[in-house]
Formats: sequence, C-alpha cells, structure tokens
Amino acid sequence: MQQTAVVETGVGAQAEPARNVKVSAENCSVFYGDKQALFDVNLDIMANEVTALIGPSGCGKSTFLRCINRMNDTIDICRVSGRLMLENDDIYDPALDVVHLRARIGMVFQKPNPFPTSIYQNIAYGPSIHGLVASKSDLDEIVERSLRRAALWEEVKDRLDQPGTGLSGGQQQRLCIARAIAVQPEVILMDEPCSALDPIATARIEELIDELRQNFTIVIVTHSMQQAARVSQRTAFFHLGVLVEHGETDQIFTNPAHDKTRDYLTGRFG
Amino acid sequence: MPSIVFGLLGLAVFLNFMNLPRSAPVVGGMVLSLMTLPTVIISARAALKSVPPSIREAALGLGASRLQMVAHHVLPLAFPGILTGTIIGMAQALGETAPLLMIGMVAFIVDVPGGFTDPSTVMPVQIYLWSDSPERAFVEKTAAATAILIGFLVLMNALAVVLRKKIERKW
Ligand SMILES: Nc1ncnc2c1ncn2[C@@H]1O[C@H](COP(=O)(O)OP(=O)(O)OP(=O)(O)O)[C@@H](O)[C@H]1O
Ligand SMILES: [Mg+2]
Repeated sequence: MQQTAVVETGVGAQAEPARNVKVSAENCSVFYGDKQALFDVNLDIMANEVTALIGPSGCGKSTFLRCINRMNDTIDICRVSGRLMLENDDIYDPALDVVHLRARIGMVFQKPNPFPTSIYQNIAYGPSIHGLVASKSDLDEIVERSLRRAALWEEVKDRLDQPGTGLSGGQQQRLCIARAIAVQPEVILMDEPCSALDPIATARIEELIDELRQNFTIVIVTHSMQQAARVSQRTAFFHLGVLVEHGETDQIFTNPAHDKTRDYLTGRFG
Repeated sequence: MPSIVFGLLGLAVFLNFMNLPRSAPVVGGMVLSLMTLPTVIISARAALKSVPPSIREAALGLGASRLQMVAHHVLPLAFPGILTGTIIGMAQALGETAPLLMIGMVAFIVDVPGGFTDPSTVMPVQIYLWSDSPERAFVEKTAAATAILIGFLVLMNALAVVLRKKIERKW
C-alpha cells in the first residue's frame, strides 16, 4: 500500500507537465479467470480529443474501455492489474468512490439501452442521483441542454413525457448520449455506438461526437475504419489483447509502423 | 412437495418446539407462508432475472450505486412479476387444508376468535365439516361457503392478471 502510493506520486509528477493527458494506462493487463484478455497496455488518452480503438473482434477493445470506468468490476471473474490514471487520480485506488468515478467517466453502450421511463426521466436520472440539481427548473434546463447537445431536442421536445423506448434506434442512441452528457462527465466512453444504426443516423452521431469533443474527452470503439478515420484524432490498434500501435489517426492510416496494422487497415485480416 | 409435509413441519417446529398454541391463526399463517414461499421465491427470481442486463449496465454506467440500481430500476421492472407470484401464492394458500389439519385447525369452533392466538378454523375445513353434517340447513351453508371461497380464488387470480397487464412494461 505504502509503496504503491510512493510510485504513484512519482508517475503523476512525471506525466503531468508533459502533455494534456486525461486518462493514462500503464502496464494495464486484464484477466478473465485464468485467461488473459489484455497484455500490458500503455496508452495515453488526450483531453478534448477523440481516441478510436480499433482491431479485430475479441482483441480486447471493449475490455479496455470498460476498465476505464471500472465497469469490469461488475464481472466477478475479471481482474485488472497495472495502473490507470484519470488525471491525477488512480482509477483502481480502493479508496476511490466508484460512483463518483462513473459520474466523471460516462459510457454509451453498443445497444441503445434507454430506461423504460419517459424521455425526460431518462435524462434527469443521472443529475438527480448525483445531486446536481436544486430545483425542478434547473433539472428542466439540464434536460433541454443535454438533449440539444445530443441533437435530439427538436425531435422530442413535444413528447418528453413519452417512453424513451418508443424512439427509433438512432434516436434512442442519441438519448443515451444525452443521458451520459447530463451528468457532466469529463470523459465519455462509447462502445460501438453506431453498430445498430443506419448510415444516416450514424452520420448524425459522428457529427455529434465531433462537436462533443470541445467539452469532453471521447474514447470510441469502432469496427468501421472509415468511422475511425472520420471522427478520431488518435487511433489505437489492438490485436489479440496487445496494443500494437497508437498515434495520430492520419499517421496510423497513411503510414502505420507495424505490418499488422497495415494488414488490418487494408482488410487483409480481421 | 406435498403440502402435508409443511403441516408436519409446523407441528414439530411451531407447536412442539416453540410451544405456540394449537389451532391458532398465527401458526396457520406461518405454515401457509412456508408452503407458499417456494412459489413466491421462484417467481420473484424469474422476474428479477428477466430485467435485461443492459438496464443494469445503464444505471451503473451513470454512476448509480448497486442499491440505487436495484431500487430505482430492477425492482420497479420486476415488480409486476413479483406481485403476480405473490398473489398466486396467496390464492394457493387460500384453498389449502392438509397442512392445517396437522396443527389442529380442524376443531369445531363455537366462538368467533378474538385474536391471533385464539383457536379458530379455516374456510376449507369449515366447508368439510359442514358438508358432513346431516342437518338440512348445512347444505345451504356449505354451498354458500364454497361459493365464497371460489369467488375469492377467481377474484385474486383475476387481480393478478389485471395488475400484470397494467404495470407490465414492454421494450
Ligand atoms: N465476461 C467475460 N468473461 C470471460 N471472457 C470474456 C468476457 N468478456 C470478454 N471476454 C474475453 O476477452 C477477450 C476480449 O473481449 P472484448 O469483448 O474486449 O473484445 P472486443 O475487442 O470488444 O471484441 P468485439 O469487437 O467483438 O466487441 C475475448 O477473448 C473474450 O472472449
Ligand atoms: Mg466489443
């Protein structure tokens, strides 16, 4: 305990002045029971950028993403080693409040999963459990602002009291994004947010992600190379649980350092 | 499990071991609770399991604690199922006679019981006793009691169905 604390401060002091790193992973390994799913991942995620995680199915993208907000805690057999930092806080510090962490790191899932309550309540839930609002009018304002930011306000403003599950898939996903934004997180994790959507809905969400970048740090898992190229500033390529390479998206796509990355990008395997 | 077994259990535990009075409604209630517990538990478990994991994840991902996740999302969604199971369990207990025979709720009771520990009898047993009586007047009494019992059963089952339909959510 004492030792880790000393090491932590050393690393924090080292990483801080360098660049505007929001989340950093150091030697992050993940095990599901005896099976290792991630091998010593070292990755810095920059503030106010979109970082895309790409790689073939089963390479550990979701696993890495779910480490960042400790969603892996909900899987009994899952064990994480190494260190993950959110700015200067150790994400896996036993003293850290997971509830508070998840308020700072929001998540949007692959399948839109609105609560079977009204649109309004879907958005209002997060702020109310975190005590972010004092009055009903504050809450109304947060709901409107979040929906506007998620480019959904115009479509639903007349039916806020209707169930969120009654919206179309694309609208539901934007509702989930609005729900995540409403808590005012610093980082938003998105696990294949467009995989259940048609191209038009996808385009809207991509636009949205680009706008959200100004206020949030975004990590997105995607299977679409075009999407990664369109929305992200940095890309990380995973293969069989190993972070093969990461860097500026332009550089990864035009001039990858590894053959594996090149092969994957050109569709030679996957 | 045959319901008579629960009667034996009640006799052994509540009457012999805990020395509770014979023929008492409390004991009858406890025996019937034990008997319906499996039904209620099984349906409650099924209802809780049927809440999709994605809803749990959504709540946890927003920073809800486990308690909040269960209280705000899982329980409300599982509630119709739990309620239905409970009502069906109650309906099942309503018509039960066998376990109550064992704890002495078959005595011929003259007075209206004044409390939970006073000797008393139950509807099905009463019907049984009345139907045995040779007097003419008891034929009507038996019929009336039977009608009330069946009416209650139908009512409770109908209530379960209606409530279920009413609060059930779709996604
Ligand atoms: N809950 C779990 N229990 C056991 N093993 C798991 C679990 N979740 C994931 N794994 C394993 O961990 C590895 C990485 O899975 P992960 O879901 O992170 O892949 P992925 O890159 O997100 O794949 P996809 O692109 O298909 O979503 C896989 O081999 C998978 O079988
Ligand atoms: Mg995945």
